[in-house]
Amino acid sequence: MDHKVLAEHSWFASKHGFLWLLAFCILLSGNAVASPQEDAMAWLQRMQEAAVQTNYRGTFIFSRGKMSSTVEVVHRYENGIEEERLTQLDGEMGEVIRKGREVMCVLPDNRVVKVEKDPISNRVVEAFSGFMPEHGFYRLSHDGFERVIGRPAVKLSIEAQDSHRYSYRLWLDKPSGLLLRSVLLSEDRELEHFRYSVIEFPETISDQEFRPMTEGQFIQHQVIPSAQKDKAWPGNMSWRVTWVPPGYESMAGGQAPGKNVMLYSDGLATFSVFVEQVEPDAMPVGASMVGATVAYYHEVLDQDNNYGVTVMGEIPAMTAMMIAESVKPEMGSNPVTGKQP
Amino acid sequence: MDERMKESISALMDGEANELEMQRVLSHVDEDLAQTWHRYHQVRQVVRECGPDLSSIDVRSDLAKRLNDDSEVLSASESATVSAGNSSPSGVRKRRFSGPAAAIAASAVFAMFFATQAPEWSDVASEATVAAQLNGVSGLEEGAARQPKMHVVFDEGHARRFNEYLLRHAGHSAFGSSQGLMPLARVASVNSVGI
Repeated sequence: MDHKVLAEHSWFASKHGFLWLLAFCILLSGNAVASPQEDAMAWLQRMQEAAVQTNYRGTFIFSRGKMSSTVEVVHRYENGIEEERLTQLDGEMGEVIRKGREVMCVLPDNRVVKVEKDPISNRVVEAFSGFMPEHGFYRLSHDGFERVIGRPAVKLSIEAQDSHRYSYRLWLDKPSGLLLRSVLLSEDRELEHFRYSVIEFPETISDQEFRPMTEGQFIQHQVIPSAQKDKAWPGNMSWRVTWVPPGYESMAGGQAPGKNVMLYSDGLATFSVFVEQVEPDAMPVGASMVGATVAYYHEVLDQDNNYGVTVMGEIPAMTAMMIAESVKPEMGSNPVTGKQP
Repeated sequence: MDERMKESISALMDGEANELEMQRVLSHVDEDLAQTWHRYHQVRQVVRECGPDLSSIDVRSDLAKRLNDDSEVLSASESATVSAGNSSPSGVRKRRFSGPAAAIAASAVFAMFFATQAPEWSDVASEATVAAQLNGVSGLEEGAARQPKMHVVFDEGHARRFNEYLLRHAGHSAFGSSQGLMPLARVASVNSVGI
């Protein structure tokens, strides 16, 4: 590690107690050597903090397979609350607006769509913040410095070590730590590509920039209901995900009675599990894919009731299938054997 | 070798074979067919004045290998087509093999052609094929029986449902996530169907 990098690390660590101590010890030792993985971990942590605490405004291109979108974004962190507005610049204009933990989509036909809060939405995934990937499942490395949109950037490689997750290449803005570019890979094939074409870091951003384009117009509000339970669902019924790939941990949901939404993460990749009554407009059984995002739908027949299990996340289709097929109903402390159609 | 068989080989080379023609070729893989295929390729090579030396292709040995390798990919492509409308696989089998399907069928027989022209393969493969490959589906050890059915061609209802789950998933994972902006970026770039 050169002195320039050390100086930056010292600055960063000064804001974060134990890291400051770590940097101080490294300086004292005179060795000034950190493994590529440790170095990458420090940058990854810095990226996470920058994503929340930095004010920025920019335009990025997001590509998945043959689809590509140009999106304008503005992000502000004020009084401990994150606000974000993403506006599609291609095709018909749509927006995604987030304030704190509330997300809504403003669609071109003057509809504002929100998601009804799932049981887990109120129990935020604080544990997720700062949760770093286990070393055994990814190999992290700091691959030097490059320039991205005219700014000095740190390049990180995160290599998946098994077939249950994807690999990443990240380019972080060196001064701020913000993610400027990322590529999500499956065995060297690009599934997603995210890249800023313009970015700036204003000191302050006005409230005006977070107002939806439909403000002052007649709009139709629509709420996407939370994952629907079967009316005949017994009160003490719960669902158990009996298999997840190694390294993934339950972030929220669990198997408490009545819970039918669960979230898992390995620190980088996440997947949600939804168990619902079977709807007439359910997705076809199998893996529906857009870029790196898969939604695997599977039906479980249990005591003459059909349940739909959907696993959605940025994980391989095979993994999603194995997870979905492992979801079993449980009645109180007695597991129920589900018959699969 | 009769004229009908020659026409079938020619159709397969041109990506115009229907299933009947493909089956006819596959069921008559013998020395005669190998030589005919070889001659056709030589002519094609001369016409193009470039390309790989195909004189050493062993059609029979490559056939079995490529059929095994590509059967999963082909089935993924079929399932995607089925998902777009007809849910009966038999509906797929009745259609002519043209475009991507023809390319896949041809690749099953003529390994060297695609092995030496990988970019063409990528260009002509269907989205389903690409998705299956990108996700390592065809490379997993689970075997064909454990292969997920792939859908990459959505009708409007399917797309809307997918986008609803995408929004729900982003709602869970966007807060304090190590992915930062990415969950919402995925929502912001949903297709024109919307939510």
